[in-house]
Amino acid sequence: MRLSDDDLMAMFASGTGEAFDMLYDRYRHRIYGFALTCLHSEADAEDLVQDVFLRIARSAEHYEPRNRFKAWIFSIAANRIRALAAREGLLREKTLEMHRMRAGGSFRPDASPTDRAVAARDILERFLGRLTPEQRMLLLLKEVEGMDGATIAETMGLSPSNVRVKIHRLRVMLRHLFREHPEKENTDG
Amino acid sequence: MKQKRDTIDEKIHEALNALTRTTLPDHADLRIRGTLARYVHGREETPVSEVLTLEETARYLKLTIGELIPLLDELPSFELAGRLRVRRAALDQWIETREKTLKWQKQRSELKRDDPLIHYAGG
Repeated sequence: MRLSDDDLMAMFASGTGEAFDMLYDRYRHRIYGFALTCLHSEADAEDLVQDVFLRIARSAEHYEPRNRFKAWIFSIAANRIRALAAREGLLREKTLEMHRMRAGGSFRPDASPTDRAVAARDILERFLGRLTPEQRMLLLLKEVEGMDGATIAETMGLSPSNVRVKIHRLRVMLRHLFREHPEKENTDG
Repeated sequence: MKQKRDTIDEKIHEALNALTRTTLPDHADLRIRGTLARYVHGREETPVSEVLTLEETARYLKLTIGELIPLLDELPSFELAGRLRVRRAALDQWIETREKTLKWQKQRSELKRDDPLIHYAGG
């Protein structure tokens, strides 16, 4: 039987350090991916993962098991991302250096559109680059973490109706974008 | 139209997942594990310093900060650069005086339900 996040928090609070390691294993990559996409800085994303889990460890004794661990851990990450974004000003100005790296060089802003196929990945990269950190977070919580509207609202500290409107707007923009650029993957020379 | 939209949504979903699902690099993972282990392990230990912060005092007494705050009036603390500190020796002494004044029958009824002491006391 798989232990729930709440079970692990309870075990950790009563002194079982291994339970915390299991929570870390469960969430470290997801929190890192979330932070990296929103912050575009590997160093910041790594620091954020550490901050989030330290915070969780410190709060374990006061944790209320309401089956909301996921919303809680992502809300800690979201608050941290907001703080960093405020500190650094407009993060969307930053280049998508890491994405270019991971895409193995397929992202070539210097290439003219006729030179290369427009892959879904590239469309998304540029789209994400233009969004605010909050918009990126909303999109990721919905599409990658698969959260429902109420959970996203709880995570982001927004009203459910506000979340609905914002996500809908993002989706309309994305649909528009994907319709304009039919995917032609793997044809990139 | 609806079907086309679903296909596009599916494509968006896949592309976003492919783009953002990434793994924490090993070197960062190791470093973070180290920091967390120090903390997670450290919280089990009794602090060795003679002067304790409120957090350490709470840990020493096996209380949460929230439970410690109401005790601050009685706690033998001192102020230093605007911060409260507790001397461990004074804290131990204070515990001793409480031990002497413990009125067992009265205290027993006030112990929290989940406190194992209640079982030892046959409560």
